[in-house]
Amino acid sequence: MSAVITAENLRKQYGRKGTLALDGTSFRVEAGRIVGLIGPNGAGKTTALKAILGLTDVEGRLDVLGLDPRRERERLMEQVSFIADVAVLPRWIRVREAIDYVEGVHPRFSRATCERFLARTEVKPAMRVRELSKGMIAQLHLALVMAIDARLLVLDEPTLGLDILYRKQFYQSLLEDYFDADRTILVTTHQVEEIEHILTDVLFIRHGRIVLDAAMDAIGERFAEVMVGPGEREAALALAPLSERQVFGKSVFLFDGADPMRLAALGERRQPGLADLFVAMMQRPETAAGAAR
Amino acid sequence: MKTLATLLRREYQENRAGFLWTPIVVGAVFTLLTLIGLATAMVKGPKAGLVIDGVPVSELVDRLGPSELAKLGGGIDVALGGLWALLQAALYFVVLFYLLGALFDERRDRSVLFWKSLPVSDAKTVLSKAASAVFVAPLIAWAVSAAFGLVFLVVLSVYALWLGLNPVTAIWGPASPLSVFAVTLAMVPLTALWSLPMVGWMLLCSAFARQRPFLWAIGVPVLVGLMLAWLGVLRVFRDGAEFYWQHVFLRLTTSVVPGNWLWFDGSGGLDFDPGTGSLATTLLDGAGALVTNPATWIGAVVGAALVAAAIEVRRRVSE
Repeated sequence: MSAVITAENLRKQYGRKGTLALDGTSFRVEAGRIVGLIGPNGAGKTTALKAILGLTDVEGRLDVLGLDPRRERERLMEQVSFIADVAVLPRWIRVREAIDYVEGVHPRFSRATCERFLARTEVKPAMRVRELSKGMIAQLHLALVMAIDARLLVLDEPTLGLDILYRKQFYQSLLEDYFDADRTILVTTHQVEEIEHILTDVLFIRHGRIVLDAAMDAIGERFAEVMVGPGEREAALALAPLSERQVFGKSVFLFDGADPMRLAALGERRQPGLADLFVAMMQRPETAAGAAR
Repeated sequence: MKTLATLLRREYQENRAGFLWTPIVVGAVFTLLTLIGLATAMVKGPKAGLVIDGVPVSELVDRLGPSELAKLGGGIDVALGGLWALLQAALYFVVLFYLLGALFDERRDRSVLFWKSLPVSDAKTVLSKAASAVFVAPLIAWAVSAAFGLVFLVVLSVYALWLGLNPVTAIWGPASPLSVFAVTLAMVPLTALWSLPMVGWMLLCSAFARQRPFLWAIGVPVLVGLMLAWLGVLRVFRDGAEFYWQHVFLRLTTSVVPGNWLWFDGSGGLDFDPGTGSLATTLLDGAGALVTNPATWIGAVVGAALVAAAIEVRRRVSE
């Protein structure tokens, strides 16, 4: 498999003494994957995305589809599509004018495809963006982007502020009508549960460093969640769990790479949810998090 | 080519109110005032069949000599030029605020993230905005002024008919609307060349100001001028302030006004006498002075540098 994004040792500091948004960040994104970049606020997610899109200068080596985003944004954006959160379409523009514009500047845009997607919605060509609801703006933006034959789609909190119907529909459209083996999607969101089932890979980022870089399949093998009664709690703690939380008087432990045989003795093993895993990784002391790679 | 056309169309779509409707409203007001003036003249002025010094009004024009006819035509041409000047005054404010908003509004509403998600370089984007300011908006204003100029001549013709005059000999013969239109059209590229410093400066302020680009665009040059004036009082920098106000301040803040290079050679503006010269020669003399003036080319280089700076600032902006 070829890498769509290769980032090595990215570093970005805001202000001379400001915080490091990226601190030696390295990762690869392979073609045909759906990668979730997940981290708390201020962890460097948006900075990483901006660097990939050529919107901000960073130190380090960054290669996106064989191009340097810092110097070749124009060429890069022929192959890369991008949706920031829903509020970035200009409010004055008419739907028809937005389609005309993208058609005029983008060599890989298909007007027919875009109009087919829009025909399923309430969005009409003569409407102005300011007359649309947030959900309709997201539908318009998604229709514009899905009509572009791009190799990499970057989504930065694409469903922020949308109600649940639009959020479900958004990801469903992406999976059914857009994603295929030649395309790669990189997505950040706070609503981890919502994208968990569509991701093939996750990247956890904390304080500008990647603290987990794993395929979803591998997560089930490496991490395990076991519900343990009060009697076995000491035995579970001896296996150095990542975290413990209480449910109905029992303890739910999350283990990283613990011996399957010993876990089986404690109780029934389940695959942890991404949100629980995320919380556990983020609450660990910094050094331990780094060592977990 | 297709990209450029798309970018220019996008600027027009966003700014239709300023680029198209503002000149149309000004032209309509001019026409309305003309109609009111002529209606007043019809009530209070000379009537059809009136005889002045033994000559019926309807034969008045036939008795005019060549120089008097030229004066009559020159007078009508000046009115057409006045209409054009009126639209240019409105256009100045349209272009000023267009440039100040061109790279500012997209940051304020965050749509810059949408524009930058498409394969259009910052250079093309900024240049399309500069081109909209110096070509698209002025060409539309010119076309509107020509259209209302023709309306004005038709209105005058109706008045002439009412007086019993032949509009062909009284209006269309002596006046030279086509040369007025041609000259005012020729002003567009000349003004574009001269106005590069203002275009670049306004775009740069628009690109970097976090708030109120207008204050930067006007405030900084004013403060620099006041500082130089103060230094002038101290006799450190004796003639600097005067030179600055004339060649830097006015150039940065007013040079999109057509023909304003005439303010810079000491003649103080258009010195046009309808009796002696044609509007065309007057304006074209100004054009000759423009292209031979080193200030034009020094300013063009400075303007290009300012535009390049605006492109670089836009490249770096991430939100």
